[in-house]
Amino acid sequence: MNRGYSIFIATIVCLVLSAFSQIAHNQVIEVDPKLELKLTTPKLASLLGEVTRFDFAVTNNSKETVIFRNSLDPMSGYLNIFISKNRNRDFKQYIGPGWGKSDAVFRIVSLKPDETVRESAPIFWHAKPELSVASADHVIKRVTEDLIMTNYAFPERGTYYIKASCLIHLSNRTEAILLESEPIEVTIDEPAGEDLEVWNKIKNSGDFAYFIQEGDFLIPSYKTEERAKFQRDVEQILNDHPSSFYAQSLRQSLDKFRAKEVRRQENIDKLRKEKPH
Amino acid sequence: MRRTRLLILQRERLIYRKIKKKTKGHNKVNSLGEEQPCAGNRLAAFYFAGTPFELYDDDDMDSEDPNLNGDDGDPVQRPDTDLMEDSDVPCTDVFNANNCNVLVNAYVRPTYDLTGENVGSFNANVDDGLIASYRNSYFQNQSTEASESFWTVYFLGAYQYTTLLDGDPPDATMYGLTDGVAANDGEGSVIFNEENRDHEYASLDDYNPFPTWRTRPVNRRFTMAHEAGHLFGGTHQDYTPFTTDSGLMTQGDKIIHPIFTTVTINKIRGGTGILHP
Repeated sequence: MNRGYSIFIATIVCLVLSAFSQIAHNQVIEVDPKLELKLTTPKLASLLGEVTRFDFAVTNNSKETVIFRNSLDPMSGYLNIFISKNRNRDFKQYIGPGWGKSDAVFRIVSLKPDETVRESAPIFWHAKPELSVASADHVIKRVTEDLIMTNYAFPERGTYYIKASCLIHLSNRTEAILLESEPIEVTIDEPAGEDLEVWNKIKNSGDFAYFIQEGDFLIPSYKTEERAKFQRDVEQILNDHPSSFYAQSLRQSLDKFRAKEVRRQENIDKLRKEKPH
Repeated sequence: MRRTRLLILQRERLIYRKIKKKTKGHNKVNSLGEEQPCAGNRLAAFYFAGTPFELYDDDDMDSEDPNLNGDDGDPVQRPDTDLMEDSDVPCTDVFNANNCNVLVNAYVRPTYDLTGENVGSFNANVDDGLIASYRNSYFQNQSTEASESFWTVYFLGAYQYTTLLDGDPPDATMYGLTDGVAANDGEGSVIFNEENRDHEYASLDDYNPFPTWRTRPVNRRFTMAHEAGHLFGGTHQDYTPFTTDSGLMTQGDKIIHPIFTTVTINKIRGGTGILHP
């Protein structure tokens, strides 16, 4: 075998390996230019501890109708959000409450040319992963590089860049396609005075973040004492700071929670009567 | 192989209901005197105006209704554990599974040694609040939950999720739902037995020379294994390298290869460093 032929074979092998490593790294099969994913928010500036909604929209820029089989709803697990303090790097994944846990099949989405399908969700409480202390350093490093490690998506003041990606299962092909949005910039400010006092009380608590967003407790229902204590903590903050910036969202969440609790108790009483002894 | 056992409390017959059987009706006639056939979800019947006809409930949870009498009197089934038996045998043929365990490659072996019981009265549609109430009233195994030798998780057999997600027109279908707010903090799942089990799907079998699970939108044994995957941190994006195929963790009707991918297996083994419930 002459030298030129060997170099040719080696080059081909390198190109193939390079292509495979690229695919393996990105886990992307194809980016479809005909569909466009856009991330927007009506509020580009907000305060720490303020729930902000974001909108996700996929537009069909082609001249043909596109049909896909999955929803943009984050609960379905095909829409991902990434947040960074740098526009071009260090993006980490944000996971909202219950995201990706819904095994629901929605109606087929049929997008005619120039049509858009939309979803929206708050980006606020994050499902911070609990890491095993027995994990190797490189494993922990990888998790902390990939995922946000705080319960608040925006834990401190500053400028954040947020981008979305979404996988679309088209009706006419097996593999999904990946859509990515351009990052958008949001500014998070620190509250002042009494508001800052409240923020300092809640900023390290995932329980508060979840409660503000969902109007429910993160603490499991069988931990009755912990739940009662948390409710007292919420009520105490409301008593101490009735007109703070956070009072309205805390009050709304408390009302929502109390209504849920009444219904839960009614259900439990009903089931208790039915329960065979 | 390290043998770890999964403790699962089965619930049979969570719900039971009486539904109306046959309903007499007439075609509608519009203002022009034209007949307007009453159409069901998928099949339209044509009659002359004024001709009496019968409407049938086409729910067929257990595929045993050749005479179209709905699920009247049928007990709600326990979740299908065919892929998650107390066994060290891997599932090589998932369609004809017999005493196999799809979790075996992750060193998890289910053990069904908690006492199950039938619970509650029938509810055609259950929501999160009611499911949580069942959990509080009937699933109380804190002692085994605290065990270091077992994971304790719960599976609940139910009929349908909320009316917006019960597979009846015009909305979506919820096949299974795992609780918890993060990818890996759930304690249990609900498997909805009736969703998209309408009789028409069984009729389609007649046109298929090899009637299989494929003529039903989703095989419930897959749903059961899928939800177990969620409890261990699996997501719909646990892609096999170079593909967008998540195996058993693919959502609902998009499952092509019903085995756990290496990504899911790694999560179940704890290889990501993120703790299980």
